[in-house]
Amino acid sequence: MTRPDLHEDLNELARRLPAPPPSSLDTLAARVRQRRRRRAVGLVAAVVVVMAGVVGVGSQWLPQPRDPVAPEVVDAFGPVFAEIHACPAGLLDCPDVPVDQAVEQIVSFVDDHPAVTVTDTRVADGPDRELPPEGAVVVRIHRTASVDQLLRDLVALPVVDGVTLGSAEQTPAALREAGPLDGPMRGQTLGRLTVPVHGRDTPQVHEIWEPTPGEICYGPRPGSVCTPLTVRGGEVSGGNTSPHEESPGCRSVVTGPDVDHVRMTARDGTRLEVASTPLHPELTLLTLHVACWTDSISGVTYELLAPDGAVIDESP
Amino acid sequence: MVGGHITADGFEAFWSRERDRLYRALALTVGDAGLAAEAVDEAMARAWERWDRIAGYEAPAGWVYRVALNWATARRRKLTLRPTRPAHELDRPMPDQLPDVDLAAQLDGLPHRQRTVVVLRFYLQFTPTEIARLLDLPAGTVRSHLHRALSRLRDRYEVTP
Repeated sequence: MTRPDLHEDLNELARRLPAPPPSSLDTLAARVRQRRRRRAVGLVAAVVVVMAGVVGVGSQWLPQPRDPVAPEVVDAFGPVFAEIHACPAGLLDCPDVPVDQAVEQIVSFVDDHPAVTVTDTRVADGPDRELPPEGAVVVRIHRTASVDQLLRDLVALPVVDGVTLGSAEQTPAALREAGPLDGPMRGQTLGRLTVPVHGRDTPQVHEIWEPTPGEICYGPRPGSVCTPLTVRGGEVSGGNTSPHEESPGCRSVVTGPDVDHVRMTARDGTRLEVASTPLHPELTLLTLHVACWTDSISGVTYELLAPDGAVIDESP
Repeated sequence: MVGGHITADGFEAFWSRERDRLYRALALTVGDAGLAAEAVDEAMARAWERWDRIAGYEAPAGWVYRVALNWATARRRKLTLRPTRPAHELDRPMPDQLPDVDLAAQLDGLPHRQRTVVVLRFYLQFTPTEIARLLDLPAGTVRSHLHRALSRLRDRYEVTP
């Protein structure tokens, strides 16, 4: 009897799949344009943030490029819109709160704030059936006093998934058209890593930031020596699984998303396991794993582990 | 692409030739036809944006497959960590209508990485060396994944990695 052929059988299995949804170059071009719009909004947000650092008076603005907004920015750019994304039940790390209730909670949180006006709220189905519904509250920031603290408080709310800022040109309609953004401003809290430190009870806080568009820095701040990874088109120079030391005592590993966690082992055999952290919203390929030793890291090796604990790869 | 205008020089032929094939390959890999279709369209959009560069790659289809796979994986990670849907539960004819229910089940039983290299090798027909380049893995690791995957299927297939 002839044994079946794997190639032929896979072909047959694939052939029986439903046809993909109809598409055309026009619909693909629309998707490309939407990606551009998202990037444009993200760049505006980045400019806003950079300007906050550049023109901000008072040291409170300078150390953290991801600070939401400075008064001078509103003066220079006109009103700023912020889209506050709800954190719907079903999304990782979101509370078990239906999206419409999350939106209501956000509205009630910002409604009485003198510096902002709620201009729009929306709740819609997710972009595909695998994703939970989306919700957002768009606010117009027309005065800046204490807005920074308001946004900080907002992103700390469990029902908030992130905040996207837009300049006057980015009207609420434009923000709505662009949809939920994965730009650099999405999720302020994504810019920080809680890094376990071997031998200490208290973890170290690292931040991820963009010194210039297309470059990523991370490390403890202030005082971290930044060695940027260059990001171009969702790719990072150096490729996957490149060991990268960004600060004394710490070892980071950049990996693909298949890696669930990294086990690091010091020369004396002590181990530390580190879970994945998204490196950057644009970098869908990559996650970052960082651990610090209180003493020298020389001799630290790492293994990349799948969710089931199987070793995918290991340091050379 | 120049300014706001999007041109399709050279890309259209690639898109019309590869979209369906890559969608089916990704659906076999991730076990979700809807997610696969969305991911391939997203990856195709990214490829179009950079077509001047990607057209010169050794395997543009491999680039799109990898970007789509990573996009799909990232998308899934944003959700509650639900398991990959088994291939035999895909949106397609009922299992008893499938040509080979056993193969679908066996494919489901493979770890994600092994399933990926099997699809790349035996459906898209990349060589182990090409797969290694595509996935940024040592060639030996790819062969190891293939070997382990085929060991599980060995009672059924006689294949050479």
